[in-house]
Amino acid sequence: MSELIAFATLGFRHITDPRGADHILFLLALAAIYRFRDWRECVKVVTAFTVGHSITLALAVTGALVMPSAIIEFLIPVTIVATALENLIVRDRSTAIWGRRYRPVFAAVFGLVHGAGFANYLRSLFVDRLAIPLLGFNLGLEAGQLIVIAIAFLSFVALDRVITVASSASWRSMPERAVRLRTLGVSVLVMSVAARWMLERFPW
Amino acid sequence: MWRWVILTLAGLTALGVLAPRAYSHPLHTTLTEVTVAPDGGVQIVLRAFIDDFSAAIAGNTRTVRAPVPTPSDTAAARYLARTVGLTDAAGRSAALVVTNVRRTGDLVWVTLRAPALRTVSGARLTNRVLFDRYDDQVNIVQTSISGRRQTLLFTKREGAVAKSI
Repeated sequence: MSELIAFATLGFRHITDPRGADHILFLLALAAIYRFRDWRECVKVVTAFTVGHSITLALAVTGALVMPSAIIEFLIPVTIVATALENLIVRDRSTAIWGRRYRPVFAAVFGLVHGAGFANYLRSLFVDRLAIPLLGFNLGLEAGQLIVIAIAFLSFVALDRVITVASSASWRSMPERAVRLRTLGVSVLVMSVAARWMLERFPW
Repeated sequence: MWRWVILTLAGLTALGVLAPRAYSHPLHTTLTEVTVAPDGGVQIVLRAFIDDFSAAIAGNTRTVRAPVPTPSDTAAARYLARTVGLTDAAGRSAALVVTNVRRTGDLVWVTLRAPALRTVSGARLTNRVLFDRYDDQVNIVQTSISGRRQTLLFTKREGAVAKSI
């Protein structure tokens, strides 16, 4: 196995490991508001998240940025809670500040926090050859994220269908309501898990 | 309808609060480099996080601050004998000896040496270091033998699989 593939495998396993669900929950919170036809918007936001975490991953692994892991581990659930809250509070994004563009911006900023979380372990181990491990790890993370998002989208479509079928006739005529209910449910679940993690990881 | 919505949201909140304890999502890995020394002997340099490695040697189930093992540390040698193995093409085990242990920051670097194998071709390695501590442990092994570089991944799921170096 080449070094690139080995580290891509490591990155892929890391992001898709259900035992470390914090990054998966963040992706779920990011994707929760989108309908199937909005998949381009969702890919934009996830790509912005990747850009963010790639920047801090590179800075932290090369030693240019050193952040206490206790603070990072606390900030990761904070980003999840903030994203889920945004899902619940903002109802019309076309009239929100910066229109639809602000979501990729905050996904990139939150990505900076998650990247520092990925980096804490890699930095210690890879004190010498860095470029290929870093590139491979990032490619693996990206592939894993896309798979998580694809599964989330399929689950959301199924959930919307279940909500529509289970709801009353007056609701059935308004499919937007199913999307709003699904967003509400996913965001509440994600937020309650992350809020508990936030309290458990409180560093001060 | 709203009653069901509120009940569902309350259920989801309870589910979230009762979710398993938070994992800080660390990467459980070690990095090992395998090279053939000029005298033909095989050199294995293992890097691991000191707290995990020390705790594994001590047989603890929780991460503790234990003293850095030394080359003469029999517990460390016993642990490595249990978890790292090298066999030649005929399946004969090579005697691995801990020759150096040093610490840099959070890491411990352990050097093991094996006498020259008759032929490195067909030699196989096992690396189960820290498998006893973490189910998601992945040990990365980079080999550089006769100008040929390769990377191997050892996971707990695969068990004690020996891989060609």
